Amino acid sequence: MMKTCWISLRMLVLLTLLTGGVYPLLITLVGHQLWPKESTGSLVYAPSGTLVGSALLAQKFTQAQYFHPRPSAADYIAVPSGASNQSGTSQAFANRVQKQRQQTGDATPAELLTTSASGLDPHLSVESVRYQVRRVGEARKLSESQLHRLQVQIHLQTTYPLLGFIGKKVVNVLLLNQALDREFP
Amino acid sequence: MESADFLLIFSLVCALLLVAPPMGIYLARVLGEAPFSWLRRVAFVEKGIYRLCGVDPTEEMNWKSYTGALLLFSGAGLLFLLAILLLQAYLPLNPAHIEGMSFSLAINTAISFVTNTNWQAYSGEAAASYFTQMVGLGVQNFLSAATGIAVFAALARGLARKETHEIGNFWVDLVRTILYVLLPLSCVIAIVLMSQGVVQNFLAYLDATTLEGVSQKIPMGPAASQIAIKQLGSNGGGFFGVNSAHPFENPTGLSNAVEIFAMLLLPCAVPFAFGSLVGDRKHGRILFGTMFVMFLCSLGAALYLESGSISSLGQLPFIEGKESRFGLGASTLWTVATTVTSNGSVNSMISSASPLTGGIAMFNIMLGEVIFGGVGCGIYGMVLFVLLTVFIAGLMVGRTPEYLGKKIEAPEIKWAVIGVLAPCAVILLFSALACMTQAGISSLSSAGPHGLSEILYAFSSAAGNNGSAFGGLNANTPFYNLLMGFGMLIGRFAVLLPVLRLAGQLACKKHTPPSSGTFPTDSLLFGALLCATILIVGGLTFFPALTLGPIVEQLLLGQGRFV
Repeated sequence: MMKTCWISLRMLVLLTLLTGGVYPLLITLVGHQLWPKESTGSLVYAPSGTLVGSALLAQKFTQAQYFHPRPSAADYIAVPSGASNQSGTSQAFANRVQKQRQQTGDATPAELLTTSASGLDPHLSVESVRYQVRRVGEARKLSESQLHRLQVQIHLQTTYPLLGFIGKKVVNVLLLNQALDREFP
Repeated sequence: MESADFLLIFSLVCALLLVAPPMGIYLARVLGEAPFSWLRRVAFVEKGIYRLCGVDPTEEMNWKSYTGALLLFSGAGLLFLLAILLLQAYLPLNPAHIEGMSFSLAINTAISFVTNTNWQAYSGEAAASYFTQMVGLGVQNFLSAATGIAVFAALARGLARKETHEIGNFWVDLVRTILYVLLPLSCVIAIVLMSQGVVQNFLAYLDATTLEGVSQKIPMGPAASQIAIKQLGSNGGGFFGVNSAHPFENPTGLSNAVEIFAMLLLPCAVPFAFGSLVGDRKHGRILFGTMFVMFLCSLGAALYLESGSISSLGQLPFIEGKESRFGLGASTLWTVATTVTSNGSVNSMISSASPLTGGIAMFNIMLGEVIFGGVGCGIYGMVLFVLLTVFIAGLMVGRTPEYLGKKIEAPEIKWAVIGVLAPCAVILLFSALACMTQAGISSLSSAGPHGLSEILYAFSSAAGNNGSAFGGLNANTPFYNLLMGFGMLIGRFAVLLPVLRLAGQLACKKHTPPSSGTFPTDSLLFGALLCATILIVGGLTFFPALTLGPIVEQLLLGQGRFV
């Protein structure tokens, strides 16, 4: 009994050092060498050098001149992240969807009516982006040729599924908005 | 649902069918008596650990000393983790200055990670320091998974050996599983995940100024190393609050596919390892086949339900609580995979899925986490059902049942029934208690059938050591923290201890050669009977409760009624 106790304690210490010390530190070192940008949060900086955010985390956009990401149950706060957890039979959910439809039109894509799982979904489908092009174009007073350039920007910020079936065709909203500021200041 | 979704599901399933059998054989060799020759060359680490701990790796244990070692080791791990959770404010690597957890939350979390449940009543980025995640929670991800595999190995030895008290050495099983299976796989997965954008660093949380000039805090941390093992070891405890829905935890379609694969890999491989260790590979394949068929049925039903829509809201598809980069198919596959494997991580919110999809997820857990199940735990839970099945088959023909050459008698059936019924009792009794008390009801976020589903799911998750959350339930109250903690302990040890007792009992028995009255356990007929036994036990126990929860809610949804 006492002997087993001692073995347990020593085993716990050694395996903790191995799996809780050596292993994560080794992975950190590998990440630092191979993927320094990706392993530190895919950060996005303004031309001035200030930190704008992460390409992977949605941020709050309310102005008409920007594309808006999916609604967020946690209001785009990342610490802590959170979801609505509302079900299809919830009255509160129904009210929220109706209200959103009144604000952005009956034809609003479902993606823009519903909150994501993380509240930080950085992407939109191409359809949901196109739905907002008119609003953004009007707010920025874009000409016909500039609207064409906007389409090119949308195309540039689109990620395609790997091999055609792993993942979805999505547009990164923050990077697109940053490109907007750059192209049509 | 698009054709690309089906292509993804098809290719993941094919990849698993290709990799799981050799992985199982590998696992069996690692745990068996004749490990690979190259293992001997790298064995200096393993031998070093034994020497430093004072373990004699050649010493065999009987079931009592095996159980004793396991319990003492789990207990030590529990106290160590509890101390870290309570004292994290005074420990290093805490750049966000996170306070220690309350006692009830700490005891809940410690039990949760030691029992391989990984139920989380906290949000990692707000309530756990880097030290806690790495040295506390991450370590238990490895240890609890390896403990499950050790118990499975002991049971397999009990079945394979004859007229002996020896069922292996717990320390050897533990160390070998970690060194030769969990650690190498975790390294590979973690590196792939980092390439996709999963964070792995020790930076403090950053303050960003968004394009619209608002400030946003960006969490950081050593996430990739922990996410790899949480997927592989059927742990499922997220680094961030929203688990693998968080873009830092699961950034791309590829990372999502890799995490699904990692989640299913070992649970699918273990039945093959079992067949190999007990010397009846065909039986292992039949066990896998039974699990696989049940998995496909569950997946098919969930995919059908999720491709529906909410008619009363203008045919709104079920994309509330789902991430755009994954889409419906990969989110639904994840939900089914995480509930059959006892993993418990999520990439979409089950509470916002169609009500019956939530019901299927719940039912997968209620069946005892035996459709694949957790690493090791799944197969030893399944063997309990196998014993019931051969017992029932034996009753039909009026002969003493046999299983793999061992006569199955009253004591074995007694232990098997305890192991099967204990988690069921936890789910029903504890849910009833929560429904009857103010403390239980006040945590709900929904009224009506959805509220019952929240409670039912939580206790299923605890008793099945799954750890996934239905969401909505405010679980960080003393009532839920303590009751769930108790439920997780019963769900783990009221199955594990009878299994070890069985392993000891079976090892003592003589080998009985199969006769004409033996019910063959390597036939399709046996698979069908096993499947029926599982469904009858699960169905009879839980159908009334499921009717009042998800089934009623699905009917309400169909009628377009809101609660």
